[in-house]
Amino acid sequence: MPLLTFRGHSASPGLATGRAFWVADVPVVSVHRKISRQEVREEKVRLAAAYVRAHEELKNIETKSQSRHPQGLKDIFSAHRLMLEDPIIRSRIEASVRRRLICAEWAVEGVYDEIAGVFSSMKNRHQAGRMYDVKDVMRVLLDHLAGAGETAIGGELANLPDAPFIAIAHELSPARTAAFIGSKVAGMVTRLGGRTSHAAIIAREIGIPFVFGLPSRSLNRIKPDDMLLVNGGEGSVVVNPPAAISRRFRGRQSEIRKIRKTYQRIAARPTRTRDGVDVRIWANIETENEIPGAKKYGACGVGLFRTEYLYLQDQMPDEQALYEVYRKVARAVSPGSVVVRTMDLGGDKFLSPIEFPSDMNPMLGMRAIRLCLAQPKLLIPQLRAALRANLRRNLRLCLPMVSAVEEILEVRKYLDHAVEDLRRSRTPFCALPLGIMVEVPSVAIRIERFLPHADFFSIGTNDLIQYTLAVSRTMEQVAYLYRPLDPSVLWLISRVVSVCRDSGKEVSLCGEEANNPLIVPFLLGVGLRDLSMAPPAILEIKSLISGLEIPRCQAIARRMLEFSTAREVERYLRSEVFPMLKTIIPHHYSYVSLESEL
Amino acid sequence: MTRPARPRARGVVRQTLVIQNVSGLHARAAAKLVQLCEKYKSSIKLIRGRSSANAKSIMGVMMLEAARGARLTVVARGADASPCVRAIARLIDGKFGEAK
Repeated sequence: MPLLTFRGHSASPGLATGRAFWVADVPVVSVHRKISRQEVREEKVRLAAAYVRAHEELKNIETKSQSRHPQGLKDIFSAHRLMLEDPIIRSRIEASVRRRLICAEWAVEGVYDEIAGVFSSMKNRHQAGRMYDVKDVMRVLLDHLAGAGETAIGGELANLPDAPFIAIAHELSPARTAAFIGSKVAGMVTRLGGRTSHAAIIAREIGIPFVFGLPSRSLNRIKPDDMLLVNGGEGSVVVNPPAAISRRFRGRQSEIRKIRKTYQRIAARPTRTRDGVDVRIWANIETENEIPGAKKYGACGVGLFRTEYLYLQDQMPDEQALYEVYRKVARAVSPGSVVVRTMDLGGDKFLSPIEFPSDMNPMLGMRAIRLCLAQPKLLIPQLRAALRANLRRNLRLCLPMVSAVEEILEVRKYLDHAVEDLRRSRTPFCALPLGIMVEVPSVAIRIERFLPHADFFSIGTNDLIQYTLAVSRTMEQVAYLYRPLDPSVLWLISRVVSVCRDSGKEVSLCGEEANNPLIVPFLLGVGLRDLSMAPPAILEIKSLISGLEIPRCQAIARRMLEFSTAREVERYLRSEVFPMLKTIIPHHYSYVSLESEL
Repeated sequence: MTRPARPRARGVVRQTLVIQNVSGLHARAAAKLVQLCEKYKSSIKLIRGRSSANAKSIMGVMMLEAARGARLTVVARGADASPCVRAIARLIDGKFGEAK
């Protein structure tokens, strides 16, 4: 008997085996009924009741996903709830009942179909995929109008198999997919869907393979309880495979499990290159909520604590408020250390309670440390709060957008004053190191002049690129010039690192370049040993580093510094570095997007 | 590219913003925007080219098809128009709290 294999598309990678479980397409036998004028009121009452129950159902799903899963999932369900509660849609449905004298079901279908039609005709594939969400929300509402809402999904929940199963459906709504969270679901196979569909996002977040795009006739040949092998990365499904094939498949599964375990082992271990050089991976965080995640991934501390969100409230944080946040973070990260960056607002960000002078070119204007120095009432509470919160001696303070030595000297003066004041008032505190961000070219070019005045240096690539290339990140017409691989940018990074290292000053790099696997070999090659990045990127960069050797990285960096255009650097990365990455981290989830970046 | 919000007529504040996050005003970003707008009493309109939407309607916002680089003009009318537009600017300029 020939092997029965179906091919679809990959929406979530991974390998799974399990028995087929058909998710019933609950047929909505929609009533299309004309009503009399007297019935309008009644229909509105039914509609309102359905809205209340549908709202509760979506709210339940939202809460459920919140307690067990990352923020991403919660946002999806919030979006659904908002789609349900959309005031304009509701008023259109009500108007439709009233004017056309049709029953609520008909009106709901009419309005949502029209909207789904608009979405499906959108050019952007991502947006067009939203059609499924629209239909999904409509389905929830219709189910409740029919008085079957809870039973439809609730019933499915109760009847899910106890053994690992592969969910099969023509279409999986996010609400239905959500019902699988916490069950024995091992994979999903559907006819309709997409990589950007909410079901796909959920599948990736809970880490199960999802294949979509199987034609109807293939899908219908899968019978309940058939044994299935699902390869999410390849987008293939094998039905009732012979023993030999199953064995091979299971072999690959255990291989992947091993890789996952390696990742977990890596998280627990200090980061070290293959030739035994230690590298420290730090986390960039914005709120204290990110600390547990950062620790789980094995960050050795917080390399950048952005404090802007504290200022984006209606009220300015006072010293006590800052102190409490700093102290909480210091305690949560301890024994690791935390680099607190002072307020980096102005420019492209807004600072609510402070009036900004209007400025034609805000990125070059009154922002960050300049603003703090111009308004010491902003700076002093930050300094005092950090000193007071440093009783564990694990805080450091970092100044953003420094462009001249005087700025550091001036902050030092304020810092000395703060120390003096605290001592006099017998407030407990501990002195702390003061460092600067290297993100303005004047600092990078003459880094020697800054060495004696700062205790450590942190290269902020995002701004350094924009200031070096004189390119606004937010202006469409020039965005093409924003190139992290520009030879001048690479040269500045390499120079700052080598000067700092030669003089024994600590230097680290934070910014999007730190977690780009393609650039990491360069960064190690020029001598960086401290990288700070978004927590989810840590595991992968750690495993990448554990497969690299410093002499090879140095050769790559030397080569990258020889080119005269970003295009040449890109070409080199594609032909030399990319293949190497693939052998070290073969399961990188976004190779596709990495490749398209080049 | 944000200029400070400036009242033109009484209680009307408008500001033009550029969408900067990679995936644009997709469902989740739109949800954040709508949830923010719901907190304000002002009526809020988003204008993109020839289309406009009520910022409290997620469908309307999504249908603007605002991808990265799209320019949106926010027009808020009401007592809290000023803080409202500022908050919207922060959300959009902060890339909706997404990594990229």
